[in-house]
Amino acid sequence: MTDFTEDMLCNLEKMAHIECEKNEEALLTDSLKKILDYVEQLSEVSTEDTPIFSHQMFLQAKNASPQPLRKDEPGYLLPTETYLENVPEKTAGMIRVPPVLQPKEKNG
Amino acid sequence: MNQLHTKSALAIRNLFVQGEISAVEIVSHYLERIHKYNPDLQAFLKIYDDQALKKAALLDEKRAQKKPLGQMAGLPIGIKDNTHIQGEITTCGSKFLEHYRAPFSATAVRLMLEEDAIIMGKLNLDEFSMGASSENSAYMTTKNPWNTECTPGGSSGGSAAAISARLIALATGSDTGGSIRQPASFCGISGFKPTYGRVSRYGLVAFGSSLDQIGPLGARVKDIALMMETIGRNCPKDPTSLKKSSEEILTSFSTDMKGKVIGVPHKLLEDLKGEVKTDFQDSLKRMESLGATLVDVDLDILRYSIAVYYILATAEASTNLARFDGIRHGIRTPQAASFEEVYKYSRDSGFGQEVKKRILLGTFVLSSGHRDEFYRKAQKIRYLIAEAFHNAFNKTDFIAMPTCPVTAFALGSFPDPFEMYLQDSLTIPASLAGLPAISVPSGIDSKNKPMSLQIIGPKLQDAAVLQAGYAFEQTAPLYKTLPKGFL
Repeated sequence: MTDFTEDMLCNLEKMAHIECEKNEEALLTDSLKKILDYVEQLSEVSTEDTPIFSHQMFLQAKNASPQPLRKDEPGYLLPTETYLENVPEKTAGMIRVPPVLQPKEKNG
Repeated sequence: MNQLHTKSALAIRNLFVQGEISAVEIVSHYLERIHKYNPDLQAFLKIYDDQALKKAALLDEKRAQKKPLGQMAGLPIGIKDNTHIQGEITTCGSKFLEHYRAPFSATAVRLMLEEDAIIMGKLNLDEFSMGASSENSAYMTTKNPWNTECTPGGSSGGSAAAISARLIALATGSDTGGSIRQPASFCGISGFKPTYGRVSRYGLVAFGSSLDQIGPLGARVKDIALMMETIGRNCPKDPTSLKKSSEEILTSFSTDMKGKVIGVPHKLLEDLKGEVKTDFQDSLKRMESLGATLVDVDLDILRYSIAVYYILATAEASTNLARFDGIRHGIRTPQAASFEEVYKYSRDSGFGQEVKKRILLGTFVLSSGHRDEFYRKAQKIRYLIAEAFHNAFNKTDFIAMPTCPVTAFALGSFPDPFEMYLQDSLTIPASLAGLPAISVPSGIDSKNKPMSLQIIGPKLQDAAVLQAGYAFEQTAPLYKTLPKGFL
């Protein structure tokens, strides 16, 4: 059985930038615990010398010429004005964001 | 032509090209059906009445001027709403993207427009394609034309329902773990997931990037082959696009399966039950009657597919959906006072519960201390699954299995989504291995629900899989049977 608790869920919420309703948390914890219990079955499979999957592996072996990695060059980029059309808040051709650093409160 | 919608896409295209019907007449016929049936079916998120009629009028003019007409000329098509059409809203079935206007068209969309297809609207889906019933859409719940108490499947449920009710001639879907094939099966139509990389993902909003593929849904196999001829080609804007040009598929179609060997993973399928089991056995006999030989293949490792999939797909989703932050995209909650709060509140109010759950699960399996236990382990078993297929294809041309172990289930019948995940056991394996796979209707059960055969082929054998699907379809052409109420 996987040891997955509500505290772990709270930690995940912080990492994923998602804040769930308090009344959702017990349900979500149970639900995630159930999935993690299910995927534990993978430990039955021995994978000591098994490589990590890549789409290239069986493609090269049987059906096609190798697909080289593309050159590390900038590709097509959207013009800034086009990109900004979907941005919720913008100013002077830039994305407007709330303050990253909060001003210090004055003492005394 | 009152019964235009019962004709194949190829026949409609030919009628238009030969001057026997105008594009405006075609579009008007289908718009009438859409407005008659969509209020109940809820397949379309957006209907493009004016744009479709305008495009049709332009095509009529083009024909009158005797200019060359495209391969999909005059065909009314629908686009799953996770795929961009420049200038139109792409919601992905999510509140988060309610106002997101696509700055460019997906390559698949562009290619079809260049071939003179007419886009009729955007089709409903589970939010960000995460679901198997279309119930996770933030906007509407699509119904199954065969039984409106039941799901059309998902996540491409709007696409499948619209084809099944003949509201359009062809539709796009996207398949991450079965999202084209399962709804096609539930709605009694054909659906095809191409080899990974065969169709460009440029302009498809990503869910699981190593799994996602755009593919066609249609009433007949020849129709979906027509769409594949159009969209299956290399695209420099998608780095995972295969260096392959378009291939002619339709010219090779025949019903001869002599010399073809079909692998059947009997042990994997030993839990099949009821009418799905008997229908599958009957389907295999039909393949034999076409000249194919059946052999048993060992694909037992595939029983780990669901577990592998829910680790890898959620890991990739948690990464892909990190871009939806309320800063660059989507909605920004006004009460957020800090950078951190913009992220948190926007995502909280914009995402539905299933999406949040999958992001959290994906974050967990990628987190420090768990990455080896879950993510790396799943990637290794994914290799074993792909290797098992590869070995099976050394002695077979195709693998056959039902598309789904069940038929369309009642809406709301899975209060726990985890139970729904388990229904995807037979579609996920081809997605994990990146293989082409087609779902073709094989029968109707005693409750009047469609069942389907799935044919899986080796990588890049897309044309051969479509050819086998066509041959099988001819043994019992169920496309002649429309769901009652949508004749």
